[in-house]
Amino acid sequence: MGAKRKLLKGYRGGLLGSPLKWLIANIVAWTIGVLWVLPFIGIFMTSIRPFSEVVSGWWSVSPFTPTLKNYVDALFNPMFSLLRGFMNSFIIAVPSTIIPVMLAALAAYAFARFSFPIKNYLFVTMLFLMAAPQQMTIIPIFFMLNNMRLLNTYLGLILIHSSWGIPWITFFLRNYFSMLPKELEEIARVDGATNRQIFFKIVLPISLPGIISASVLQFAWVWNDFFFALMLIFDPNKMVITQMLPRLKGQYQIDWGLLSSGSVLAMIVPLIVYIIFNKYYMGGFRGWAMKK
Amino acid sequence: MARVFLENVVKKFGKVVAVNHVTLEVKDKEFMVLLGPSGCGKSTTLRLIAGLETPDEGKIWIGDRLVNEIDPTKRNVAMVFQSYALYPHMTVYRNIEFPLKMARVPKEERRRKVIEVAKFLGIEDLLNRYPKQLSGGQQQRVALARAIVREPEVFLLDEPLSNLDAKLRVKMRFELRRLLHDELQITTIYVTHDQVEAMTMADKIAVMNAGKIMQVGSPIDVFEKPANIFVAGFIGVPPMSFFEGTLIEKQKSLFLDLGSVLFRIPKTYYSALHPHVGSEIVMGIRPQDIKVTLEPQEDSYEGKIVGYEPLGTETYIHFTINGTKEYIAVIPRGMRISLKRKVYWKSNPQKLYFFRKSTGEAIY
Repeated sequence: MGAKRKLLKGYRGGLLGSPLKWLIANIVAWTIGVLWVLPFIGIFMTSIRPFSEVVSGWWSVSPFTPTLKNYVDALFNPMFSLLRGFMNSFIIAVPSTIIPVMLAALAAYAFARFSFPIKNYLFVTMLFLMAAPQQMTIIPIFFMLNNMRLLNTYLGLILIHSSWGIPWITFFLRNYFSMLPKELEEIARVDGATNRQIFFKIVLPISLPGIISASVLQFAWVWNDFFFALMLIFDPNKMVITQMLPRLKGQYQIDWGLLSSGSVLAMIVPLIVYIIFNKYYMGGFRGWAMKK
Repeated sequence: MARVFLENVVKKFGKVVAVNHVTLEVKDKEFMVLLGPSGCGKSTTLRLIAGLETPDEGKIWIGDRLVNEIDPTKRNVAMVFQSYALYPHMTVYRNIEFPLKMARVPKEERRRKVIEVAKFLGIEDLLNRYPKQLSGGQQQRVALARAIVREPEVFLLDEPLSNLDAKLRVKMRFELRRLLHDELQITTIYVTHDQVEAMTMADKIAVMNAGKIMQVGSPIDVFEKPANIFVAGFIGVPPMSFFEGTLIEKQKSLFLDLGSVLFRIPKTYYSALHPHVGSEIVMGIRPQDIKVTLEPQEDSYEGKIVGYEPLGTETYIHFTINGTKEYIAVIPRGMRISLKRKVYWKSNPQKLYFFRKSTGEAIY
């Protein structure tokens, strides 16, 4: 009896119904969770140990000599310095997050609250074009940037990421804005606020969770992007971290330690961003809920 | 201070006519209550005055200005919503200050006014809190303070008491009236579906139904002299009992043919009702004016109890005459009744109402 009670300590009844269902749901959730986390553990284990220890698999734990050598090597690699990639990624990702979120917020508010001709057609067209894969658009983008002399520049990549981000952020924030209580905006209008004041003083501050979750997603997306960077940046000094990673592989023999420490470094940034804004991020997810 | 005048105002949402040719005058300093069931267009009327909706037809005047084309920003009205609509990211102070800030009032003066209003409403201790840290009653005061602070010409309140618990509602009802009407003397338009609020607070009540104004008058007027069946049935608790039948004349006396019973209509109504002999009419009696006894008495009719609601001070009984339609009467506490019991009822002969069945208009 005692053991059973202990096992079911977290059980609160309610949504999941009977204790058995609760147990099954938990087992399923934990299984998926473990399967999901396992590769990360593997990469992490590989990254903090000398190459000789992990040749037979990261799961062999003796001997176990933790070291930061792989990290130092990756960051200060004379050929392909990850530190440089880190900085380049930041230079690209920060403006590529701020610019589209700002522009899309304005557009989203217009879609959510104002009526203008062809509004719905415009919105549907935008959604429709979101379905276009990057690979389909890359050739015209390449030539366009080339003509604008923006190929192989930070600005070119920032512009492409920004324009790629605007549609989905508009969609996301439009849904978020249309779920805000209209009365707040109405009372502000009666109180004498103009549309611009309503947007900046009322709507934006109360939409912070939505703005933040859109920003976190966009940042992670730009940070993790490989394809656009690969096609549009060739100067090794301007390469972003995702471009640097494969180069750590080495030409004749793969240094798994170096590669995995590089991977950990590359994914740690979106992870930290996510952890910092976790509270807002989850709250902001109602932006995905479809609502007219 | 200003008079508000709506002239033949129409507002449609798609095919639904929410406000249907409404003409209404609210005099300067008057406390007007728009009363009606949900969806009758009373809130839309209020929003039209505020400028949150644009009328499809008609004219709206505030003071001497035709405001049809004037933005809500510039109408100098203040509004309180049922949900209070406090800005959740601002402190109470910032909430109250907001309209002044929008009007570009200098900072020092803003501060003075906010504190003055806060003291007036007894919320000066709450100025640094956020709306979610306040109780319903406190939130409501903040919403009021925000509306009062810039001294609007017209006050618009949309069911401001509905979110409060019953006890607080009764208290605030009294306070609001004193504050807005007696102390500030601002023209006020107050929307509610609660007739008790309407009766206790209003100088005048405009009863609305299906987008139309059914009657405008003082609380006593709409209670004593309802213009039609709707008003008669809507005002008064419990609702008026209606007896439908054909008006017939026998030996110089009028009777209402209720099917199994011929109800004798008192002589006082003879001249008013005589032109309607032969047509279908509806007689209304307020439950308080129906006297129910256990034994037959002079001029009483038989009935059967089909349900009762004891309220403590009195009891509402539901009875039928011939088994189909239910009528309500109020009986004093202590009377011994039970379901299906036979009772006898008679009406107060001075308190009968008569309406045309076809149009619902009052005859007497």
